[in-house]
Amino acid sequence: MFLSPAFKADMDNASADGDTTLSDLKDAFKKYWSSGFHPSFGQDAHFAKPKEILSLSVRKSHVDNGVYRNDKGYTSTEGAWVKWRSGKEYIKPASDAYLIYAVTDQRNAMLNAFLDEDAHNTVENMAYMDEIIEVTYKFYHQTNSKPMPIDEHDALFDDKWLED
Amino acid sequence: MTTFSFVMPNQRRVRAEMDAWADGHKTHAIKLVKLSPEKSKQISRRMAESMSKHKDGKFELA
Repeated sequence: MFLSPAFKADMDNASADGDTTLSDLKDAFKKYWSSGFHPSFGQDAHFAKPKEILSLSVRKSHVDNGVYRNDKGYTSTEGAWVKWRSGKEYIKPASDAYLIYAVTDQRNAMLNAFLDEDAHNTVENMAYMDEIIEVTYKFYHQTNSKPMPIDEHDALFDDKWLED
Repeated sequence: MTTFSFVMPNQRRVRAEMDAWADGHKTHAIKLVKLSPEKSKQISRRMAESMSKHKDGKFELA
Protein backbone atom coordinates (compact mmCIF):
# COMPACT_ATOMS: atom_id res chain seq x y z
CA MET A 1 0.00 0.00 0.00
CA PHE A 2 1.21 3.50 -0.86
CA LEU A 3 0.60 6.92 0.66
CA SER A 4 0.27 10.15 -1.29
CA PRO A 5 2.88 12.81 -0.43
CA ALA A 6 0.22 14.93 1.31
CA PHE A 7 -1.13 12.01 3.35
CA LYS A 8 2.39 11.01 4.41
CA ALA A 9 3.42 14.56 5.31
CA ASP A 10 0.31 15.20 7.40
CA MET A 11 0.56 11.81 9.09
CA ASP A 12 4.24 12.36 9.98
CA ASN A 13 3.66 15.91 11.20
CA ALA A 14 0.75 14.89 13.39
CA SER A 15 2.61 11.87 14.77
CA ALA A 16 5.55 14.09 15.69
CA ASP A 17 3.10 16.11 17.78
CA GLY A 18 1.75 12.95 19.42
CA ASP A 19 -1.42 12.75 17.33
CA THR A 20 -1.67 9.27 15.81
CA THR A 21 -5.15 9.60 14.28
CA LEU A 22 -3.96 9.57 10.66
CA SER A 23 -1.52 6.78 11.39
CA ASP A 24 -4.37 4.81 13.00
CA LEU A 25 -6.51 5.49 9.95
CA LYS A 26 -3.75 4.20 7.69
CA ASP A 27 -3.33 1.04 9.79
CA ALA A 28 -7.09 0.49 9.83
CA PHE A 29 -7.27 0.81 6.06
CA LYS A 30 -4.43 -1.69 5.72
CA LYS A 31 -6.43 -4.16 7.76
CA TYR A 32 -9.57 -3.43 5.75
CA TRP A 33 -7.72 -3.84 2.48
CA SER A 34 -6.20 -7.19 3.41
CA SER A 35 -9.26 -8.73 5.07
CA GLY A 36 -12.22 -6.89 3.56
CA PHE A 37 -13.55 -5.78 6.94
CA HIS A 38 -12.86 -3.03 9.41
CA PRO A 39 -15.55 -1.71 11.76
CA SER A 40 -14.46 1.91 11.14
CA PHE A 41 -15.07 1.69 7.36
CA GLY A 42 -18.52 1.35 5.83
CA GLN A 43 -19.69 1.72 2.25
CA ASP A 44 -17.11 1.80 -0.50
CA ALA A 45 -17.66 3.04 -4.05
CA HIS A 46 -15.72 4.17 -7.07
CA PHE A 47 -15.91 7.75 -8.30
CA ALA A 48 -17.76 8.30 -11.55
CA LYS A 49 -17.45 12.08 -11.92
CA PRO A 50 -15.80 13.68 -13.78
CA LYS A 51 -15.75 11.05 -16.53
CA GLU A 52 -11.96 11.12 -16.70
CA ILE A 53 -11.77 9.58 -13.25
CA LEU A 54 -13.41 6.36 -14.46
CA SER A 55 -10.17 5.38 -16.16
CA LEU A 56 -8.13 6.08 -13.00
CA SER A 57 -9.70 3.57 -10.60
CA VAL A 58 -10.35 5.99 -7.74
CA ARG A 59 -12.57 4.97 -4.85
CA LYS A 60 -13.89 6.28 -1.54
CA SER A 61 -14.45 4.43 1.67
CA HIS A 62 -16.91 5.92 4.16
CA VAL A 63 -15.25 6.51 7.54
CA ASP A 64 -16.99 6.52 10.92
CA ASN A 65 -16.31 10.12 12.01
CA GLY A 66 -18.81 10.15 14.85
CA VAL A 67 -21.41 12.15 12.92
CA TYR A 68 -24.69 10.31 12.51
CA ARG A 69 -27.88 11.44 10.82
CA ASN A 70 -31.49 10.42 10.88
CA ASP A 71 -32.55 12.31 7.76
CA LYS A 72 -30.51 10.36 5.19
CA GLY A 73 -31.90 6.87 5.53
CA TYR A 74 -31.00 3.97 7.79
CA THR A 75 -27.36 3.59 6.70
CA SER A 76 -26.38 7.03 8.03
CA THR A 77 -27.81 6.47 11.49
CA GLU A 78 -25.84 5.73 14.62
CA GLY A 79 -27.74 2.45 14.89
CA ALA A 80 -26.42 1.32 11.51
CA TRP A 81 -22.83 2.01 12.61
CA VAL A 82 -23.33 0.33 15.99
CA LYS A 83 -24.63 -2.83 14.31
CA TRP A 84 -21.84 -2.77 11.74
CA ARG A 85 -19.21 -2.35 14.46
CA SER A 86 -20.59 -5.45 16.18
CA GLY A 87 -19.67 -7.54 13.13
CA LYS A 88 -23.14 -9.07 13.11
CA GLU A 89 -24.66 -6.91 10.40
CA TYR A 90 -23.94 -7.20 6.67
CA ILE A 91 -25.45 -3.82 5.72
CA LYS A 92 -22.63 -1.30 5.36
CA PRO A 93 -23.20 2.11 6.93
CA ALA A 94 -22.55 5.48 5.28
CA SER A 95 -20.98 8.73 6.45
CA ASP A 96 -20.00 12.11 5.09
CA ALA A 97 -16.28 11.50 5.57
CA TYR A 98 -14.26 9.73 2.89
CA LEU A 99 -10.91 8.06 2.65
CA ILE A 100 -10.06 8.50 -1.03
CA TYR A 101 -7.80 5.93 -2.66
CA ALA A 102 -6.68 4.56 -6.00
CA VAL A 103 -6.36 0.90 -6.96
CA THR A 104 -3.82 -0.56 -9.38
CA ASP A 105 -4.46 -3.51 -11.66
CA GLN A 106 -2.50 -5.63 -9.12
CA ARG A 107 -4.90 -4.43 -6.38
CA ASN A 108 -2.34 -2.23 -4.68
CA ALA A 109 -3.94 0.77 -3.03
CA MET A 110 -2.68 4.34 -2.74
CA LEU A 111 -4.24 6.41 0.04
CA ASN A 112 -4.74 9.77 -1.59
CA ALA A 113 -6.66 11.98 0.84
CA PHE A 114 -9.08 12.21 3.73
CA LEU A 115 -12.12 14.37 3.19
CA ASP A 116 -14.63 15.55 5.77
CA GLU A 117 -15.90 18.94 4.81
CA ASP A 118 -19.35 18.17 3.52
CA ALA A 119 -17.76 15.35 1.50
CA HIS A 120 -20.80 14.50 -0.61
CA ASN A 121 -20.88 18.03 -1.98
CA THR A 122 -17.14 18.64 -2.06
CA VAL A 123 -16.60 15.77 -4.51
CA GLU A 124 -18.98 17.57 -6.86
CA ASN A 125 -16.48 20.44 -6.85
CA MET A 126 -14.30 19.99 -9.92
CA ALA A 127 -11.37 21.92 -8.47
CA TYR A 128 -11.10 19.40 -5.64
CA MET A 129 -11.49 16.41 -7.93
CA ASP A 130 -8.90 17.86 -10.35
CA GLU A 131 -6.38 17.73 -7.50
CA ILE A 132 -7.28 14.12 -6.77
CA ILE A 133 -6.91 13.28 -10.46
CA GLU A 134 -3.55 15.03 -10.74
CA VAL A 135 -2.14 13.14 -7.76
CA THR A 136 -3.47 9.85 -9.15
CA TYR A 137 -1.82 10.36 -12.54
CA LYS A 138 1.48 11.10 -10.78
CA PHE A 139 1.13 7.95 -8.69
CA TYR A 140 0.71 5.65 -11.69
CA HIS A 141 3.56 7.39 -13.50
CA GLN A 142 5.96 7.34 -10.55
CA THR A 143 5.28 3.72 -9.59
CA ASN A 144 5.04 2.53 -13.18
CA SER A 145 1.68 0.96 -12.44
CA LYS A 146 -1.71 0.92 -14.09
CA PRO A 147 -5.22 1.50 -12.79
CA MET A 148 -7.50 -1.46 -12.30
CA PRO A 149 -10.26 -1.36 -14.94
CA ILE A 150 -13.55 -0.30 -13.36
CA ASP A 151 -15.33 -3.42 -14.58
CA GLU A 152 -12.98 -5.47 -12.36
CA HIS A 153 -13.92 -3.57 -9.20
CA ASP A 154 -16.87 -5.86 -8.51
CA ALA A 155 -14.34 -8.51 -7.46
CA LEU A 156 -12.21 -6.26 -5.21
CA PHE A 157 -13.22 -8.05 -2.03
CA ASP A 158 -13.61 -11.51 -3.48
CA ASP A 159 -11.81 -14.37 -1.77
CA LYS A 160 -9.03 -14.49 -4.36
CA TRP A 161 -7.66 -11.12 -3.22
CA LEU A 162 -7.97 -11.51 0.53
CA GLU A 163 -5.93 -13.12 3.27
CA ASP A 164 -7.28 -16.12 5.11
CA MET B 1 -21.22 2.11 -10.14
CA THR B 2 -19.38 -0.46 -8.07
CA THR B 3 -20.69 0.33 -4.62
CA PHE B 4 -20.23 -2.06 -1.76
CA SER B 5 -23.32 -1.47 0.36
CA PHE B 6 -23.58 -5.03 1.65
CA VAL B 7 -21.24 -7.88 2.44
CA MET B 8 -22.28 -10.36 -0.22
CA PRO B 9 -22.85 -14.09 0.47
CA ASN B 10 -19.98 -15.07 -1.86
CA GLN B 11 -17.48 -12.96 0.11
CA ARG B 12 -16.50 -15.87 2.29
CA ARG B 13 -13.29 -14.39 3.68
CA VAL B 14 -14.90 -11.06 4.54
CA ARG B 15 -17.67 -12.85 6.38
CA ALA B 16 -15.17 -15.05 8.21
CA GLU B 17 -13.30 -11.95 9.36
CA MET B 18 -16.53 -10.38 10.57
CA ASP B 19 -17.57 -13.55 12.37
CA ALA B 20 -14.20 -13.72 14.14
CA TRP B 21 -14.55 -10.09 15.20
CA ALA B 22 -18.15 -10.61 16.35
CA ASP B 23 -17.06 -13.63 18.38
CA GLY B 24 -14.41 -11.53 20.10
CA HIS B 25 -11.34 -13.18 18.60
CA LYS B 26 -8.77 -10.58 19.58
CA THR B 27 -6.09 -12.29 17.54
CA HIS B 28 -7.51 -10.39 14.59
CA ALA B 29 -6.04 -7.25 16.12
CA ILE B 30 -8.63 -4.83 14.85
CA LYS B 31 -8.28 -1.42 16.43
CA LEU B 32 -11.14 1.03 16.07
CA VAL B 33 -10.20 4.48 14.79
CA LYS B 34 -11.16 7.03 17.42
CA LEU B 35 -12.23 9.92 15.26
CA SER B 36 -14.27 12.77 16.69
CA PRO B 37 -16.27 15.05 14.38
CA GLU B 38 -13.91 17.94 15.22
CA LYS B 39 -10.72 15.95 14.63
CA SER B 40 -12.12 14.60 11.39
CA LYS B 41 -12.76 18.11 10.06
CA GLN B 42 -9.35 19.31 11.21
CA ILE B 43 -7.55 16.49 9.39
CA SER B 44 -9.59 17.12 6.26
CA ARG B 45 -8.87 20.85 6.25
CA ARG B 46 -5.13 20.34 6.76
CA MET B 47 -4.95 17.73 4.03
CA ALA B 48 -6.69 19.97 1.52
CA GLU B 49 -3.92 22.52 2.15
CA SER B 50 -1.21 19.86 2.00
CA MET B 51 -2.40 18.59 -1.36
CA SER B 52 -1.33 21.89 -2.93
CA LYS B 53 1.96 22.02 -1.02
CA HIS B 54 3.14 18.47 -1.75
CA LYS B 55 2.32 18.08 -5.41
CA ASP B 56 5.76 16.83 -6.39
CA GLY B 57 6.59 14.53 -3.50
CA LYS B 58 7.28 10.83 -3.55
CA PHE B 59 4.69 8.10 -3.10
CA GLU B 60 5.96 5.95 -0.27
CA LEU B 61 5.11 2.42 0.73
CA ALA B 62 3.21 2.27 3.99
